[in-house]
Amino acid sequence: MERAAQSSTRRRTRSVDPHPHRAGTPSATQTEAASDRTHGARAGIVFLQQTLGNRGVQRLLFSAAGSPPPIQRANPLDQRLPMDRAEAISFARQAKADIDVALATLTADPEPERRNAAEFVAKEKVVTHALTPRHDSPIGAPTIRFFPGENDYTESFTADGASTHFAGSRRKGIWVRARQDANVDEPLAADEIAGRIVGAVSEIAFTRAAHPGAPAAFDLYRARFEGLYFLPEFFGKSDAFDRSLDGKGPRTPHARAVFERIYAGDPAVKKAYDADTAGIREKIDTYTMPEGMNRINSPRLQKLRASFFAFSAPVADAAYPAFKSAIKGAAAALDDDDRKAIDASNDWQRLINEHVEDDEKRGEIRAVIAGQAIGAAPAPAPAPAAPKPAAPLTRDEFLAGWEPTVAVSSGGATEVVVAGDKVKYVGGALLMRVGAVLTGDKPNSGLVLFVRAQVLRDPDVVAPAKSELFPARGEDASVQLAVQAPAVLPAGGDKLTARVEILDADKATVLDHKDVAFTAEAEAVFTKEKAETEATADLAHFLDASPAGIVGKLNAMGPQEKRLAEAMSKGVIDVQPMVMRHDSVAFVTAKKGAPDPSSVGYFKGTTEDDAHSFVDHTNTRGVTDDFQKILVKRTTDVPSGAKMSDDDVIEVLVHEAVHALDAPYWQSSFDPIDRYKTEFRAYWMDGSFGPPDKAICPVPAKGCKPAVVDPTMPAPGPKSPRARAIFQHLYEDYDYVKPAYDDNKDGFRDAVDQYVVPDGINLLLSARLERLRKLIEDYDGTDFVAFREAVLGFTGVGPAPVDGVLTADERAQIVGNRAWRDHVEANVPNAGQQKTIKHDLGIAL
Amino acid sequence: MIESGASWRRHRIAGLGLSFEVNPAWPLDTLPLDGGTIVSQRLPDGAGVFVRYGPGQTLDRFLAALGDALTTATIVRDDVTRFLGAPARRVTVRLDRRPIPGPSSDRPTLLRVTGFAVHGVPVLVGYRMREDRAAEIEATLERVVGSVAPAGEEAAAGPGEPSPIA
Repeated sequence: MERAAQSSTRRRTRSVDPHPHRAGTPSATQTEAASDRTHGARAGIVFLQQTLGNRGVQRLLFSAAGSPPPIQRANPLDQRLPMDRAEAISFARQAKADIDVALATLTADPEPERRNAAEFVAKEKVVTHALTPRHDSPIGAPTIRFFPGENDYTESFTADGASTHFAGSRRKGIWVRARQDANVDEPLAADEIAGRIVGAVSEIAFTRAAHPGAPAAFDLYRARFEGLYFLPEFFGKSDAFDRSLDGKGPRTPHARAVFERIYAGDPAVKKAYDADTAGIREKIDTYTMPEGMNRINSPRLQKLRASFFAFSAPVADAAYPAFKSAIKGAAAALDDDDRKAIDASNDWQRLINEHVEDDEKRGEIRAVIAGQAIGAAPAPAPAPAAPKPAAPLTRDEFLAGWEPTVAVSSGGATEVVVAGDKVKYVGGALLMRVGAVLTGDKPNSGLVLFVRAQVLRDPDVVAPAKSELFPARGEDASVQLAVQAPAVLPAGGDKLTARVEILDADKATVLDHKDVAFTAEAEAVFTKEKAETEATADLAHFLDASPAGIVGKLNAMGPQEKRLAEAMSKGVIDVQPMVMRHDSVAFVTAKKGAPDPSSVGYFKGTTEDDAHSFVDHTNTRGVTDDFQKILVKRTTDVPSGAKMSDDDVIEVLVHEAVHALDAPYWQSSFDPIDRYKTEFRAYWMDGSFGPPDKAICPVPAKGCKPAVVDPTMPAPGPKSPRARAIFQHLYEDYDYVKPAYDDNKDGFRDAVDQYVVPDGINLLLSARLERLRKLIEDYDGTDFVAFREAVLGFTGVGPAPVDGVLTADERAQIVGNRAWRDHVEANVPNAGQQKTIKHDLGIAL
Repeated sequence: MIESGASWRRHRIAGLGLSFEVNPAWPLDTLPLDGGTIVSQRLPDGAGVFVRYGPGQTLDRFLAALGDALTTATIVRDDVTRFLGAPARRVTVRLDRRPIPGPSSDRPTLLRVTGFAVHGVPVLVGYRMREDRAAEIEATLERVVGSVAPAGEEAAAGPGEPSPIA
């Protein structure tokens, strides 16, 4: 038989036995019944069972005895096992009959993944057989020798005693254990057998949909994760980020328990994880929830998935019509549950994007799958729809219920602009966000529509049009635009119009448009000397340890801020001001060769000269321009001397300091995923989306998002509210994120969707953690005794280092973050020394 | 292609005696420079095409100003050529910004600029584009550069053709 690693599952959507049976002491009745039988009598009964069948024997033996006790056919010394080979075969045949009955009951099940499982078996020609313990399996052992099928012991294998099913490695068959684990005499209820069938089918459906051909190692891990995740023994565990968990495995209790089961029971997974084969460790450590392309076991989804197999990705333009036709044909059979499953699946969206590479075609394929008409004439003057809170947003409701959004950067903040407003140019330019927001209570229902925006100085375009796909479940979309101030502003200001259009899925048909007219006025000019004066004041304020200064205020705050103050005071982090140059437009034009109104010229430190000047965005509040070096734009308007508030300065500092001490980032190849992760860590630790050390939000939440994994969240993005909020911010505002995510460049999307908690080397902004990191990095392997003594000093053993021993929180960071494990492994290559240092620091081996 | 469907029109640079094709869907900016003027068009993704002219707009001065404290400018190609029949130098510069954390992609930028003179006035014609977008956008930008012609003689002039300007 084809064989796969053991997995077991029951779907959470059905009532299941919350206390899975385990091998235990046989009941008194059963033991007495067994002891009454002689060997000869038993042999005769077995013969009858094999010829008449078990139920026939039951009838013969107990026809006159009313309600008979069951025949004891299990081994009395270990009731998980049949008495002998004949019993085992008999059990297997009965189990197969019971499996067929259970499979039949699934066809009418109201839950789609259960109902679909029966249909999947039939349409995808999945063979179903029994999985039964052998009679000669070692008595009392935690593992059992199982045999597959109903005929003989061929292809027997050893597996966990609690195994419930097997999915074949070639994904063509399932083997289900249909008798109770603890006592093979006891049949399972049909519902429980059905649950095991569904679990086994889900593994088949997962891997068949994942790739054509043989599944990859990580796919098999994911398939098994899917099966185990919903088992009662796992499903009750928390999905919240748990800082107390060490860095070996996912850091939610639920996913950690599933990981530990697979790791302990599957030697191939253990070997690959320990050796970090093909980078599987990080993939497993960040895999906290099930995901896949056929989580509801739908044969229709499988057919749709299979229709992609015939086309290599990306689909060439010449093949696109055939591709679209094939998708349309397969999608025609989808039901609502299928479409919802596609909508919820990051994997499906990634698959579509892999096959078609521009937004128009992606929108078109999504619309084809969703059954949405494309390019249809807009409805004439749509009237406001009657409120139907439960119904998904319709296209007419969308077009009747949206408004344009316009915001400009003032240099220190973002200002909302409404019709008739006056704004000021900053650095000779306007940096804007223009888009659309839904005004009803409903988010987008998956409608494929685009928002296009531009700015006009009637009749000329002054910010070229950009478009953006309206997020499938979002409530707004916007694009960044920039306007260059004219050489001479007209009297009364520069009259501008922001135009927003809603486009159909073809990205050409304009369904609606709205304008926002406003006036941009000239900014005040200032001198180089004025800019330098403001910079000098800013630097003094940053380093001021009095209660009025930034260091002083940090010292009066919580532990994270105190550590930051300490790092600043000890020179572990260098903070300098950045201020706009007096000649910003000319500077940008000179440095970039031509004007760029999205940029401003700045200098860092206190001297405005070319050696310290650089180009950056108008709305920049701070920059980490190198390891341990931070620039903060405290002066938001040089002529007036307007400053960012101290609270904002501190917020920027806490955020940037995470970058400044993020050594793995500065040592990386600066790929988009490296950049994404350092931003994720910084936004998590600056508290923008919730207290960094708490998974659950306070009441009232005040913008806090829980750090709890939720597999029911729709795609796209990581499925945890806090991680999703950070992702959305980066997707919208960080220009490298959207293309890398949409195109899954170098696996960017795969990694981002699973990155739900930060993992870093110094999330606490600790001077001591940085000193220890550097000590390990500098170890050259020549004097381990001295090196270890220095490491131990940080833990409180032996002489303390100059900045003192690590605090409990700092030690927990080392234990809990995979970055420390990687750091030790990278810098202490000797296996024995590495093990010692890991042990000294409490890092999982 | 970016210019697909565009209704190009010709823009005359008064005082220089040159004109070039512009796309009305993109902003057309005219700004004073230290020692000259720049006329430029910006494309939606930050690319731009420009004509700089004036007594201070020499190629050497242009190249010396490129880059900043976070950005390195490297000349990757330098050719002697002719433009509108006049002796010219065409230089390609790559701008690499240090990959600091932040919202900007910091992808390398290419600047391709040709320096020549019109009646003794230094002129720079060129464009800026993201290196990773070059395959998509370069032909459009080259089209604009190639459209530069003496005002009034647009139909006859083109890159590499004899011109009365020199």
